[in-house]
Amino acid sequence: MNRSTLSTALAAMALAAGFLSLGCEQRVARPEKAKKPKATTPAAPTRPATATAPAPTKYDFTLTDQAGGKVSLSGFAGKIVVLEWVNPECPFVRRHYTAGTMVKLARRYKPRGVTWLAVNSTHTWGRAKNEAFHTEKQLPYPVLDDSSGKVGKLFGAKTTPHMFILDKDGKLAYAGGIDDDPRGTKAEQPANHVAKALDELLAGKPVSTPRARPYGCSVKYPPKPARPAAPGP
Amino acid sequence: MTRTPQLAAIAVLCSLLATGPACKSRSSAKPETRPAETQPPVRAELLADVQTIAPGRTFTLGVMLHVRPGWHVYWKHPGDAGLATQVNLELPEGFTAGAVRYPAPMRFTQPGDILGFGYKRAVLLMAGVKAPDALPSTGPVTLSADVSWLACKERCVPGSAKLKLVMPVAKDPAPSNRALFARWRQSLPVDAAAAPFKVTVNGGIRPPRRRGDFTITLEGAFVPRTLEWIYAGLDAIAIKRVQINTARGRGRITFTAEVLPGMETPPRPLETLLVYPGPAGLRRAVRLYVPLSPAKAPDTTTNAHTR
Repeated sequence: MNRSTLSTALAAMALAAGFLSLGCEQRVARPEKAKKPKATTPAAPTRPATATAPAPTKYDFTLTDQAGGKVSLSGFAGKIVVLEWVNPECPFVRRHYTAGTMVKLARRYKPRGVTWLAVNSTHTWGRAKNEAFHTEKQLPYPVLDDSSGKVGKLFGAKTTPHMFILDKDGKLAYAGGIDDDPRGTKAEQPANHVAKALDELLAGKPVSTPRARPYGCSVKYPPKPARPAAPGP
Repeated sequence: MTRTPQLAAIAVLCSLLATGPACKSRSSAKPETRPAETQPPVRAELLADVQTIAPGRTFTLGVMLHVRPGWHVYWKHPGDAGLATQVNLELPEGFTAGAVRYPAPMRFTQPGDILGFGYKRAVLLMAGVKAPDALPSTGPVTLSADVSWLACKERCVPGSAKLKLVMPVAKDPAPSNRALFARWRQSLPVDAAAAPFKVTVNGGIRPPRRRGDFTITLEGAFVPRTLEWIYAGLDAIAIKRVQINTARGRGRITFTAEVLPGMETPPRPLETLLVYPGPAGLRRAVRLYVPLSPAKAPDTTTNAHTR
């Protein structure tokens, strides 16, 4: 775990050095510190108070991850962040977790300094169920409890999966589906929008497909209060 | 992860859910014998509006989906989430079929203002079929349809069925399922030129602007008092601020279309439906194409195209 943290820190420092010439506001690169000891998941890094303040961003939130730790989006300022809307009960999500689509992507881009966060806005889920899912799938990224739906509505998440990528300045670089294959029936490898956007961002190029149609089950936000309670599944 | 735990996981999922993503359901017209709670949410069957196939004659095939209460399946454009119901016909040599036609869907919203277009309780998806002038034999003909859908309630369950219909050949076709097909044909969209009221469209996205306001106006004695506006999803466009107003003899729909970042205004018009209740509570629909760039010619030409 220490080796992984160190290599991530080195990658972050290398990226920071590379982008300094572009005049982007940069945080002082420091080795990431684990917020609390965890066996499998890298924790949210804490940023020192003396670091350069990040550019104001449209998005910020603080949610609880599957182990009970607090994760704030502002803690990742200066990094590329991928947000994946997840609902383990949704057949689209299940198909991708059987194929390992998200896990493979997260693992591939982590050494290049990309942060991956799964957000669960399913109103019938919470920390405990997120933890069981996280353990069962041995996820290399946290699963954040958004059962109130607040963060989902902040981003406009409509489907599971629904992918959002924030660039180093915290601006929305990509929003949409994980790929162009809703039915999972494409004979050839589907075009993965997230991989393409990440490659472009890491190369300092503009994202050529900043939006694509999201597909999946509807995000299961809490029912409207006026309606009678729906029977359980 | 090795193969075996993956297969075991899929097997467990299949046994828990009648129609899981890793196992295709094989719905047929056979009655279910399992208790109600474990019955799949959708049952599919293949029907025709004739009892026999006559060489050189046309008839209609219908895929009937029976949807259990509380569940819904989706239109050919599902809306913000979901999955279009798809039908692929497999016909013997010499048979030709037209496009699958979808009756007027319902419009519903789920919490979080997630928009969906689809069907509850039942839908008959139809396609015109023409038999060849000469059939290879006098024996019965087998027509097949593959249908796949996503059924949702609080959770979603995908499903599919391989349907077959065997029909004898005869010189003159005798009708079948007359009332059923007549009922569902009433809900097929008609072109705007054939609508019982006058429809005009104004507005457009004028470059270099990437957003435009639109107004659809309905006029005439038969303008419906209750009106829904349903539209096909376009990858490049977001539809916002939809407002519908109806009064005696006049209806107005206003909306804004925004081109999404990195995209261009689509050259094809937006396919929309005006849906309203008709006699006997059956839904009626008028198909209206909305050009997104300012029209160079009167919009009536666009909507005179028959499909």
